[in-house]
Amino acid sequence: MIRLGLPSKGRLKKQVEKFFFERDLELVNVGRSREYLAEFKKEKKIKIILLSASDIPLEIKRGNLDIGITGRDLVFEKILGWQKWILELKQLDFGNADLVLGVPQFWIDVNHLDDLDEIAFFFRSKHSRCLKIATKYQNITREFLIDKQVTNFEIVESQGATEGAIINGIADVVVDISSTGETLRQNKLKTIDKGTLLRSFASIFVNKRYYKKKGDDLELKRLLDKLI
Amino acid sequence: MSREISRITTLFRKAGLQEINVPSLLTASDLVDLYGEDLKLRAYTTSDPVKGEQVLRPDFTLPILLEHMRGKSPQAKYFYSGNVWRRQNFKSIIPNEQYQMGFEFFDNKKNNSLLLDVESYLLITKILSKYKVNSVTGDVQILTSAIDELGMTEYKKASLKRHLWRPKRFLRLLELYSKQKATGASIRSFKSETLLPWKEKLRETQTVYGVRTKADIKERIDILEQELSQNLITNSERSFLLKLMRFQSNLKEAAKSMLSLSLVGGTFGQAIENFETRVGLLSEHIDTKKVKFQVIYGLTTLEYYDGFVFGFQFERRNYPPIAQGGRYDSLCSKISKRGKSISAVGSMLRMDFLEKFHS
Repeated sequence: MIRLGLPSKGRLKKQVEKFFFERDLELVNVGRSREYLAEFKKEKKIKIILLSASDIPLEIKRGNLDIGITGRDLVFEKILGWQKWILELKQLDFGNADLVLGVPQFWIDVNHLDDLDEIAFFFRSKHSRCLKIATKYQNITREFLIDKQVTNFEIVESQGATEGAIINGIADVVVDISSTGETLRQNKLKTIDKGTLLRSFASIFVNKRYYKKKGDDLELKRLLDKLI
Repeated sequence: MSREISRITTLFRKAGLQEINVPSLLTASDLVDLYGEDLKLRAYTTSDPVKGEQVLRPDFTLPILLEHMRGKSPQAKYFYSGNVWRRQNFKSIIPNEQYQMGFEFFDNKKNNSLLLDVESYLLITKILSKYKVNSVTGDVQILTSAIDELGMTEYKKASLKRHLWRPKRFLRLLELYSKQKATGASIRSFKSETLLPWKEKLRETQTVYGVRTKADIKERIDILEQELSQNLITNSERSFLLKLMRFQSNLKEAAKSMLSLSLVGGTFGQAIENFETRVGLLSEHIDTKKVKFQVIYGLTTLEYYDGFVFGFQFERRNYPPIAQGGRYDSLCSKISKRGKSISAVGSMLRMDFLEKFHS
């Protein structure tokens, strides 16, 4: 039996349901609606496991899921060097969101990543502490900035409502998901040139070892033919 | 390996070095404060709700420096022996847990620096004398002093200097500073002739939050605006810098050839003079013709060194450098407070590879 992990709530869940519906794989809830149980109406040989989109990457890596659909940002963030365990089978055309740097709108002199680097360098001597960046994407942020050779900063972990972190005085800059830029604007933040860390969307991921072993499995082939 | 450890320990003691022990678990914020967030890409971090985030010692230099600063004596010669832990990438042959021995010399008198540089290089030479090794030396000071002599503003010099350790950025900056006006600025987004629109916009700004104030922003806009009208780097200066960065020869002949690259004097001349003195001192003990010299040696791998640097490599073995070290005065000055200025030179030996050589 193939174990397929899908997001259990939110917009991504709805988009995934639509994606399957269009491929003649209608999802139905089992039991009461609050329980995280579902199955395909016509395809009983696939076990659907509903869980938080951010838990899907780790469960694929661990082998508790064979296949999963989730955001690329979550795979990149949760599993460092994910390519070692996980294969990206197909990129999907929904769940689009960019991971971007947001800086205060009134920082008129900061419009490019180079500007931020310069500010960061002098931050300690001017404000007697490091430039602080609030994000729940710590790993992606650290790797991105260091790859761009920006090193004078400190990451402040922030789970949710990240955009508010600056106004609340927790950080100076944020890194967060932005699909339309509306939330950034509401919080009086702006994006900067070269400040996009990742263009994210949903993808179908598979456990590498499982795929190597079961790649010829008829059941799996039938499913993938419908999806890809 | 224990035999090598005791042999080297004896050599260290004979040279008048004193053993120092530092903890394996260090407070993360102390290190991040000095090295920046990229430390966390190299070091193993642990979580501790009571003591705060702790880091497994990624090197001996910083904990020894911190320990030394707590003491009273400005001068000291320490040696150490123990494990360090570093994350390595997939292809690396360096173990995540490596055994290192090494030393750090601290001094508060500037004019002892050259002598201590020589002493540290010779000490490693002595330790490795029973092996067939090649050595490479470098000198970051020569590069920074050359930048100091360029005909440009302090702002541009400072940006060039702080990007020396990041070659890609450095070359990009050099390009930008070399172009004529309009695009000739350090900051890509700033292409206009005047920054008046920015100033107006700032004046109209109502909502301000965070530690960065309107005054801070105005100050930076003023600096950037001044830079618009300031001298850019000339073609001859640019090619001099590039030649200097590519420069390599043997240690004995390096000084003369470097001087022929340019007529600039000042601090560059002083740096070359220091370099010549150091080579002279070394020549009394070793054949400097056999030592390689490369101005930018170790610039990208030896994270915090800013003066004389050196590395030793086994002949015909595909190992990482068996010993590496150098001068790191600016790291010292970053944490020295109350005018207690010290300078330092040190080196480490990768004991795992000495052992591997024997097996």
